[in-house]
Amino acid sequence: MEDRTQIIGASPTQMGTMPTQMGMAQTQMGTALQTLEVECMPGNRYALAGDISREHALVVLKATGQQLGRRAPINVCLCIDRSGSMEGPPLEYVKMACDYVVDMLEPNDILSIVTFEEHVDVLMPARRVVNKALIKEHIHRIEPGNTTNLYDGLVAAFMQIASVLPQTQGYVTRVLLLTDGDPTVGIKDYSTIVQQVAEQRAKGITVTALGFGPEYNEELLAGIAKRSGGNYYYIQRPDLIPEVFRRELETVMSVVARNVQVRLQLSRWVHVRQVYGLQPSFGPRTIEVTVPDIERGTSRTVLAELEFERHPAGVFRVAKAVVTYDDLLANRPGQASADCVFEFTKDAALLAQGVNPIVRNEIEIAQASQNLQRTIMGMRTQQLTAMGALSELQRTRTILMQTGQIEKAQQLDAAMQSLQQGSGDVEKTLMGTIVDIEQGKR
Amino acid sequence: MSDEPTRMMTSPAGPEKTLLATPQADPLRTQMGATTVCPVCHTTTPVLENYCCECGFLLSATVSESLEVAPEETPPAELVELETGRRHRLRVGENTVGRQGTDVLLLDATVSRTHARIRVENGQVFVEDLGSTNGTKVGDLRLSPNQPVAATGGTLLRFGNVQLRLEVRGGEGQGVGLEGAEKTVAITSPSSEATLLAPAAQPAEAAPPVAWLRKLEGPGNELPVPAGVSRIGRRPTNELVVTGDAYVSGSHAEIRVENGEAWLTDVGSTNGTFVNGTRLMPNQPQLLENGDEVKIGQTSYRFEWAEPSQPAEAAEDTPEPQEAQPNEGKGIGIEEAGDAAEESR
Repeated sequence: MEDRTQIIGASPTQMGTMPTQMGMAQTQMGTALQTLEVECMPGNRYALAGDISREHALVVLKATGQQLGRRAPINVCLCIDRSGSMEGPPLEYVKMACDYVVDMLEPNDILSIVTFEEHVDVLMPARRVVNKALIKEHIHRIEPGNTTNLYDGLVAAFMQIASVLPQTQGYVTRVLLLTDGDPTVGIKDYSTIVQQVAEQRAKGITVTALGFGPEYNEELLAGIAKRSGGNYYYIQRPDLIPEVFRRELETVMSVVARNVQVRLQLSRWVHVRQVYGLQPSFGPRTIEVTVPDIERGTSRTVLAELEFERHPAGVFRVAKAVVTYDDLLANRPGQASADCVFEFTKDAALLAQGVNPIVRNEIEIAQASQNLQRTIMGMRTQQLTAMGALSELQRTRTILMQTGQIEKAQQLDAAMQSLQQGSGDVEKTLMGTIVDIEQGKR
Repeated sequence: MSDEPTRMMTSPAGPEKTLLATPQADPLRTQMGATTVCPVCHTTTPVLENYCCECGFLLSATVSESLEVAPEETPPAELVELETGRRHRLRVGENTVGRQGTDVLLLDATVSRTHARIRVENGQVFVEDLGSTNGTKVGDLRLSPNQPVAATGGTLLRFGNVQLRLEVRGGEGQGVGLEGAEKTVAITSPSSEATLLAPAAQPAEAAPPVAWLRKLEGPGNELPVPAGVSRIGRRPTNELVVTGDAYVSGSHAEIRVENGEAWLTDVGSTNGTFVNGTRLMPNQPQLLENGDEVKIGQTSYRFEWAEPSQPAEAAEDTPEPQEAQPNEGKGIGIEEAGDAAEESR
């Protein structure tokens, strides 16, 4: 592969930073530098023996911040709503955003463009970005249509990405779905659309959902992003569309690990009750979750709630976390594992001393997400007044600040401001915070 | 996969981290292929492992004298999610069902935070809706809030949009009173629905075999296959326990007999499950035909359907009078359940 030689070619220039990295890696069982570092920590040093007790296990995946060689190439599809409501500035800014994307791509990247209204058009089938001027010419011919056939648009986008999948191993795949409204024709129901997204996810195709303006269905778009491991953006004004496209594309371009699977192999007397924000598949003595793509220098967390059933006393590994992924830096499959160890004791007084503050923090962040969902529900059912919602959000904001989630706390600030101004986009903003928390972005 | 590139030990965090020494390979136990026996659960583990592969015990530690080992218990009843196959254990006594903090945790938006309560006592199971938004169903009966209703093994339960099959384990001769079970009828149900809430929990052990895994060769034992789902493995908690074959995993495979079909699934065994010489992919059910050769561990079997007359004869083994066979796979088979209800009246 071309990229491999480029990585090797680039590494001598990186040697200055290599020794420290290697030294660190060697202390970790003498293995080479890893794209992902995996840690698995117990929520408490101690757990209660001989009883039914619940504790947490936290898996932390840290992507290296090293800039080794070139970024992984991307296979991206722009899936654009051109329904009647997009007429005017929104569509003009969308064209500008698409131009941006075209400019940012390199010859190795693959782009496709699908637009949808009542009908679906493949403006550009999946291919390498060679003649940028010609592609832009096509983009500028996008005209507003009538209704919103989101499902068929999405399926067409999936087909474009999939059409080149066999030739694009080692690529990051992403559909950027932009819409400003509810689906109005074709398949409209939430579960069918999200199910379709989940199926594509299994094939390695991710959707980032970009909701524009006040009319789109945030529940649907957040659901799409969550199920496919993509991102969710709420775009308030049309002039922000190009900026959001640029941000998302930069995110996609910095992915270093994709197809990340975390499997917890459980010891006897250990059960998993839930994994916060993710849908695990439960097997006998094992659970598995798919984690969203991981960008350079970022980390993801997977927090599981465990239950121990009358566990004997002593030091036990309750779970082994095995992480497999496509290592896009080394262009090969990657694997790492870590053990989660508890000391089981009959002395309940010890429990108070053994709390792991990092895991404690994560539990609180998960709690914040649940608070937000409750607040949204309360507002929808009007059981919560604006004042009530405001104080709830303030409370959740405090949790986010205390747990170091500054960016998410700022999102809540924006939501509270909207609430005070009586604008209706509070839920659209909060959805983004929930998606970020649930996907384990820290 | 034994050659993992990265392997990091994470001891429980805390200032006194050194108290829990990171396990070191014992110089006396470094021979390849050598094994050691875990002092806690008595499972044989390769010496190169730091932790027991079964119970996770830190093998370099010494066993405290006061070590009490609870056997892995078979829950008296379980709920199996139809969509995912996830099993939720029920305990004797009260089990809450809901979306948040409950004993049975169902993470679905249509399930209320505290949705229902299931009481397990004397081998009987009672389901009570706790005023949930989207309701609870036992079979086809929609429950009124706070009115417990009895449910039997094989019954489909529905909380919001989540459907689960109730599996009741009985027998094992320890105080699971099945005598009273046949009198169990739905408290609030009209008689037409009472037929759906079939009486009498059926102990898995007592179910007559509908098929056999007849031993051809190897150290294992012959396995009578009942209707519904049976787990196969070395551990005594399996419905079909293989003894004498060390190559069989504790939890090895699962056989599901329903609608006249038998499906065999390897559940991630170490040494594999083979049908006619082909190794099954883990968790991929394989349809069995009469006469298929099945290999589990080192033991070969021939899969055979039982003679049609056999269930009736085998029923004599059952201590309970005239019990209908639970048709677990289908949830509640209306005909069978109807028969059962008639017989017990």
